[in-house]
Order: sequence, then C-alpha cells, then structure tokens
Amino acid sequence: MTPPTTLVAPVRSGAEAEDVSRAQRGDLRAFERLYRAHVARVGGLVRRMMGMEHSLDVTQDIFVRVWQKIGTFRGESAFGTWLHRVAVNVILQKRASLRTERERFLSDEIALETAPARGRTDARDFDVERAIARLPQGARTVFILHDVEGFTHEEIGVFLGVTAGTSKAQLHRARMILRDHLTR
Amino acid sequence: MTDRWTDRLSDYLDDALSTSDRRELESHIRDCGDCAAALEDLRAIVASARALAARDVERGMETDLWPEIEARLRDIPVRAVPEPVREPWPVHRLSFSMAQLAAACVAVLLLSATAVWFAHDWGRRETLARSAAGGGLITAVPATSAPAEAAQNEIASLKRVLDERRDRLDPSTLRAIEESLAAVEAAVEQARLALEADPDDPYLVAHLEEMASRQLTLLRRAVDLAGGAE
Ligand SMILES: [Zn+2]
Repeated sequence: MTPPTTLVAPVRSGAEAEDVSRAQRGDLRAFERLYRAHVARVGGLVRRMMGMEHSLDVTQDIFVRVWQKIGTFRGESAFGTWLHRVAVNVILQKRASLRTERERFLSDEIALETAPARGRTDARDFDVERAIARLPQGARTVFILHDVEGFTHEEIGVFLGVTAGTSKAQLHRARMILRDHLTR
Repeated sequence: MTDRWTDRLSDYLDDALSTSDRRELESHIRDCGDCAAALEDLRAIVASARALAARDVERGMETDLWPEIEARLRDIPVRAVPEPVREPWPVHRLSFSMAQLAAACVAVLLLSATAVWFAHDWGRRETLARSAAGGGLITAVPATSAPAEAAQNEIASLKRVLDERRDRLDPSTLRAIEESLAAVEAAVEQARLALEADPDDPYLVAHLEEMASRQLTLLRRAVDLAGGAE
C-alpha cells in the first residue's frame, strides 16, 4: 500500500529536530512550535478516538505527557510518529479509566443496528466522520489506528493487548460496517 | 451476497495475501460482481480515511490550547531519564521514490477534496449553497450540460490513454493513482445519486461539478506521469 499522510514529516525534520533538542533542554518556545506543528493532527486523533466531549482535555494531557517524556525521545523515528504513539497511549489510558477498554473491545455491540436507517440519497450518509463515530468502539479504534493513522496490526496489537489477527478482523469488520452505512 | 472471498478483501487491499491467494482472488473478482463492488467501496473508504489526517492539518485547531498547556508545563521539569521506548515505525513508511511521492501528492490533493464530500461540515455546505445561489454560477446539472459532455468525453479518452500506458508506471504509483481514481469516481457517483433525489440543492450541483473537475484533473496528471498526452 502507499504510505499514509506522514509524507510531510521528513520535509520539516531539520528545523523540527532543532526544536526537539531545544525542548529537551527545557525551551518552552521550542516546545510551543512543536505543539503548533502537531496539534491539529493530534486533536483529530483524539476527537475520533474519544468523541468531542473529552477531546480538548485529553489533547492538553497529551502535550503535557509529551513534555514530560521528551527527554526519552532518541530520534529513532520521526518525532511526529513518536508523538502519535505517546498520544495513542494517553488516549487509551484515559478511555480505560472511563471504561475497561478490553472488555469493551471484545464485547461491544453494533451501534449501527440500533441507529435510524437513512435513505441512500441523504448527503449525510456519505459523511465518513459521522460513520466512524458510530462504529462499535473496538472496530472504530482499529480503523482509526490503521487506516487513518497508519499503524500496523502488530503495533495496534501491542497498544490494545490483542493479537494482530484480532486487529485485522476488527479492521475488516469496521470497513464493512462503514461500507454498509455509506452506500446503503 | 457474501462468499468465502468477501472476508479476504481487506487483506487483499492491504497487500497481506499470499501470491497464490491474491491470484485466486483476482480471478474470482472477474466473475463475482458482488466482490468486485465491495472491493471498490472498501478502496474508497480506505482512501477517504487517509485523507482525514490531511484534512485535520488543513482545518487546524479551532481552540488554542497552548496558554493552558504552558501554564501546566511551568510546574513540570523536563526529565531526560531514559525510559523504554517502543520500536519506531518501519522506515519504509517514510521513504518514497520520486514517482511514489508524485502520485502521493496527487492522491492527497484529490483525496482531501474527496474528504470534503465524505466529511464536509454543514457550515461549508451552507456557504457553498449561498455562494452558488447568490452567484448564479451554476444553472444546470452539469451531467446534462454541453461543457459536462465535453468533460465526459475527455475523461473517457484520458482513461483509454492511461489504460494503454499502465506498464510505464511503477506498480505502486499505478496503485496510488487507481485508488485516487476509485475514490474520486465514488464521490462523483455519490454526488450524482444525491442530486437525483434533490435536484434543486445548489450545494449538490456545485459539489458534483467540483468532483467531476477533480476527476478530470487527476486523470490529466496521471496521463502526464505516464508520459504525457502526445
Ligand atoms: Zn465473490
């Protein structure tokens, strides 16, 4: 498959690497630049994973956590990639504290079954964001992490404490539910 | 209808099938309209998912969280204590050939437009509706107008050219182009269906026109990449 939208990362890596190393030495202005460069994508990730309700709080928490951990970033991956991993972990912890993640991953119900059916000509039927928001949580999580964020099934398995096979099955399930919803 | 191949379609899209399974599935798809249709839909869904992250960047963050974050950070010292870090992403995700990059740019450009359709917000819809209604730019359903017919002809001929020159393109470039085309064609088709039911909606009229023009742009660029129109 072709790579996801991470293709912007290498282009800005020069100035960004400088900001990372400044931030690692405690430079708040440099960290602010990193925040501004990444907040839109992180905010989108949080919103999709958690819904609007907690999205601003959790986005804040993520950048606080990144600041706390930035000393451990060793440049083995793009900074944005590392940051998104931290973000996913913060999100999952937050969600776990709201509800046991694993329980929900394994036993979620198909939200669409109970959602009102719409005619195929309703323009909103094509709204992928809305359709994603209505996915069962397990399928939604895997879909966002794999298809939007570009993580592998192995990585997702580690995040969620499930096998790569389970992640694959959830991904296909998510795509088929979306298809059903978007083309009905 | 589903059959034993339906649940393999995602693996196929993600390039996770063995060579023999892939060949078998490809030959199955030639005879099975249901699987072929499902594959096209899944392709469009994957493509629009990818475009979402690019759209986040375009839209930016509405609320500036920095002041509050900064206030919290002032009380937290940075600790450079090494902690175990998980393995980074595979390097191949970040390295591209020029052709791949070109195709990816075309794809992102077009797909973010497609995502406007899939994920447009209603504020934008109203804005477009107002501008279309007020500006009087759009007076007919494009599919039935003469310029639209010319565009349809050009689309058909570009498709023929592209088909003849498939072999000149790097397979991953070709795949990126095909994915983008599938996504934009799906968007055109969906816009057409929506418009059939609601022919007076100026947003839908404008949107269909926009999607058709994106389709044309994508095809022209794809033909360019494959060696120009000659
Ligand atoms: Zn079939």
